[in-house]
Amino acid sequence: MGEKRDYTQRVLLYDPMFDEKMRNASENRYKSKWKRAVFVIVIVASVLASIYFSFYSLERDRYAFKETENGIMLSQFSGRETDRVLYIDYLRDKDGNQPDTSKPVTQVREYAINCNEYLNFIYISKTVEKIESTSFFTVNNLYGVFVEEGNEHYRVVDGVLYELENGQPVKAVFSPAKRAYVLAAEAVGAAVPQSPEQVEAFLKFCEDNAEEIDAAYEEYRYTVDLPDTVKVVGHLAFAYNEKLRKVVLHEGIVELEEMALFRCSQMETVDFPSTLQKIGSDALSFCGEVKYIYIPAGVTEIGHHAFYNCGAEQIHMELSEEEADELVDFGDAWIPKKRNVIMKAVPVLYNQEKEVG
Amino acid sequence: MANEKTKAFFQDIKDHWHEPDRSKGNFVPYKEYLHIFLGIMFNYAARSPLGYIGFGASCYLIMYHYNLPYLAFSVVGLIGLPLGYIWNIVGWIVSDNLGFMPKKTARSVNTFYMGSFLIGLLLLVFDASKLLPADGALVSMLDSFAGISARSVFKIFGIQILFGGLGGLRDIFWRKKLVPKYGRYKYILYSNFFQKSIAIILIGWLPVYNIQDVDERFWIAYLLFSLFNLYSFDDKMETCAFLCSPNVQERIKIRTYPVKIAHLLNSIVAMVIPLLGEFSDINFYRYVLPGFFIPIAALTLVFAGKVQERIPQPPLEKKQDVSFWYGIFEVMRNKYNWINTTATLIDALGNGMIDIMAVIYLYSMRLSGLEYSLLTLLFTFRGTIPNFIAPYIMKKFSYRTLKLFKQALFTVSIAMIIGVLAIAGENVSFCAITLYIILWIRGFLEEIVKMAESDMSRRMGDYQMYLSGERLENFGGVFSWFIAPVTTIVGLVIPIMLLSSGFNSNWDVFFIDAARFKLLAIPLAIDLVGHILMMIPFGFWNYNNRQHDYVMKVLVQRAELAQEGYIPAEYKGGLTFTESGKLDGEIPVDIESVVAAADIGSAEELAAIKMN
Repeated sequence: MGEKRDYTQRVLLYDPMFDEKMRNASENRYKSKWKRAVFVIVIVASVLASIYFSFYSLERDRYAFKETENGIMLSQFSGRETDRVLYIDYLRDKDGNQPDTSKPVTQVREYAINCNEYLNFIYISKTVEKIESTSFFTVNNLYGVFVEEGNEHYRVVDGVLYELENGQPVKAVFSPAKRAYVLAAEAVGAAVPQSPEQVEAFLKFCEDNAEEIDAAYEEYRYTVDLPDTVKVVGHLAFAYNEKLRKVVLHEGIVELEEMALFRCSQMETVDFPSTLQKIGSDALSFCGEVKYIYIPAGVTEIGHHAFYNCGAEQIHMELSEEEADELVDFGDAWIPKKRNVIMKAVPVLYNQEKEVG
Repeated sequence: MANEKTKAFFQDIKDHWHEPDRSKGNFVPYKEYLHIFLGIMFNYAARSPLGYIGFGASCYLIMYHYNLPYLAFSVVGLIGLPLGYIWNIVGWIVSDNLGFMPKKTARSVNTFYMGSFLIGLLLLVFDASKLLPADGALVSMLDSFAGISARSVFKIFGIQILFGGLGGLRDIFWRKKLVPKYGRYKYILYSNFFQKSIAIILIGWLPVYNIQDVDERFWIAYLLFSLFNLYSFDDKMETCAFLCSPNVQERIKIRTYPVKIAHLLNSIVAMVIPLLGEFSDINFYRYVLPGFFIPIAALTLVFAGKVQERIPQPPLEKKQDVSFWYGIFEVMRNKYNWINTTATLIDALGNGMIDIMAVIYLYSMRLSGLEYSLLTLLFTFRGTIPNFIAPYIMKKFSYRTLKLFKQALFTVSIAMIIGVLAIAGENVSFCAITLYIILWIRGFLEEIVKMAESDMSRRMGDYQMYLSGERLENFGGVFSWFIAPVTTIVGLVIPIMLLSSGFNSNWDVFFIDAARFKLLAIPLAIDLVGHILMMIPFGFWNYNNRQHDYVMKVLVQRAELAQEGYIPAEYKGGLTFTESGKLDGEIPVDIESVVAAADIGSAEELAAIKMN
């Protein structure tokens, strides 16, 4: 300890805590009842206001619509656990009741349904003219889509939604992620619903035979055969179709759009037709079971990360290296990589002929 | 010449290994430098595995395994908003009194915490939503929130008050037991080590992410993560190091050399961890994270007890009693708190933004393994060199200048980022690399300001002690009471915009080029406006070295007087103080005259005083 010092003999530095005036002012401040009251009132009022406006902002109506120059647009659907069917037909109230038949829905906004785990079926009326590629994003338990007879723009063929041109399907728009569940249920004995009215019976059957259907679903794999008139496989068309084994791409198809076959984790083969011209970015990303990729000579554009995390150990190209450099517009990191300490691009083999079988 | 200097350096270390060099006004022996280095090294490194676990959308565990809706996190925050006030009030009374409260206060506090714990437990066990009409407006509204239902809202509320009560009870108990022995900061490491170790194991092994129903999954995940968060293991050793000496220059020296070098282990750990597994593999959270955390945290405790806190203060039993209202109004006297609050309020414009580095690493560059480790390590190292030059920069430029520089830096960098995203967004690799470089340079330059901010934060504690007799660090949180309601609402703007642009619980949307631009650029533009506006409050900052030196002299003097029985609260006169003259923030404007007029003793005399 230091030498004892006599502080009464020293002139000390100014210290506000020993300043009587300061101490009194401080005491008056914190002992003042009205100041305390104002403090509490301001805090309570602002907290209550904040909670009210925040909950108001977060609250989501089941159905939200918007009037546009092209008609009524379904801008958002925030379904609950009990909402198993989404009706895209007319303007409805926020709970999806009281459809106004004088105001038909003509468009569906992008991300109108986003990360919904409950929805099983979507019904699209004949008035709907435009559905964005991302309108139904991450609807993990979607079993099927119905399109009303007479819709000139869309049709469902074998469970897949197509865009029409002159009455013919020309673009694959959307395939429900759990399509295989319906097929597995059918294998167990369910009647596949052809309209929203049949959904309840179907869901009841699924509930009563859940174990059997789940077991069948676990092993189920299916193939999609695109109609001959289809030219384009759209953005996210078959994304998250985990049980899809193969998509038959006929001659005539010219484009696989961005993420067309994204996360089709059980897809084993993909056979690009000679008419194919464009492979979009992430078109086959996370298709880990695809071991063989053959790029025909007609392809002039491959998007970035087109085959990211694919199972292929090599890429086979019909063109020569010089031709490919000259004719093909390659996106960044289009060649998939494999890890061997560091990630390394798999080899690209040029001048290849397609393997048969 | 160099040889002689080296010899002198080592001699100095040898001479002052056990006892500090008092002639230079030092308080910390070199042996303690080693303990500080080792304690911080392990404490900081232990946080690295913990950084991978957090209840938020950007946590990789949540991202890859839980699939929880983004806006549901906002709902949790909303439920916690009013509760936070109550916890703050009670918590401040406890912590700013270091656990030593008058008996009546202590009884009330304990009753409150125990009651919260029991009510929380009841809400967790029973479904309180059954008390509400099932088709009522309230239930309908609560059910409309993504990932939330009326049932889960009560569970979440129950979790918050259960852990609030439990946390409070633990806090009082451990403070009383351990603060006298370990000081006011690092005691928490001892009280939480075992529990944190168990919690980190549970996080990886309990398969909560497999629960099908998203509402159930969300609240049970929240319960698990709340348990994990109850036992904090923050970098308390670094806080101790910042307060191991009342000598500001010695503090800066310690912070620059042993502290910053100690961060090296964290960098190595941060680099190694991603090599040992993929974030999408649950075994990464089962084996890798606990495997790192538990042994490193144990080593922290070995060295923590050997570092002392030397904050100039009266003996514990003679400390300033801090009542709730005293604490509240005293911190509100501190004008610098108001400046910081105003800036924080404006900064809320950027709340809810997606972590752009996570998007660059995982969705643009698509990194994993060694590449991820190296780039994150390089990114982490951007702060190392500035740390060594920070003391010189801080001497040369005022805090105000540095803060204004920081806001200008952010403004320019954000503008550049938006420009790159707009012009080169489709060229994914070029865009990612350019953004990485911009953010690296920004972080490099920002690091100096961060050191200044950290130093100023400690100085504000000293200044508050100068004003009020206690650091009132917890009461400083009263400003969040004013800004929380505003930031809560403002903080919803970006998440709601993100929802309409496609971001919910599925991060795959960042693979979509068009979506990635909107999800990053629009929030950045809002944040940019915030940074421009933040320059205004900092233009008024005028607390610098000069003022701080005076404050520290007064605190040392006050501690001496307390030893001799002169306590401000009991002072009845008898001492002579200099005239203050004009005051600014209760500090004399003409400091030099005031110091010259006082008898404050020589440096040796000051250094001979034993600090608490």
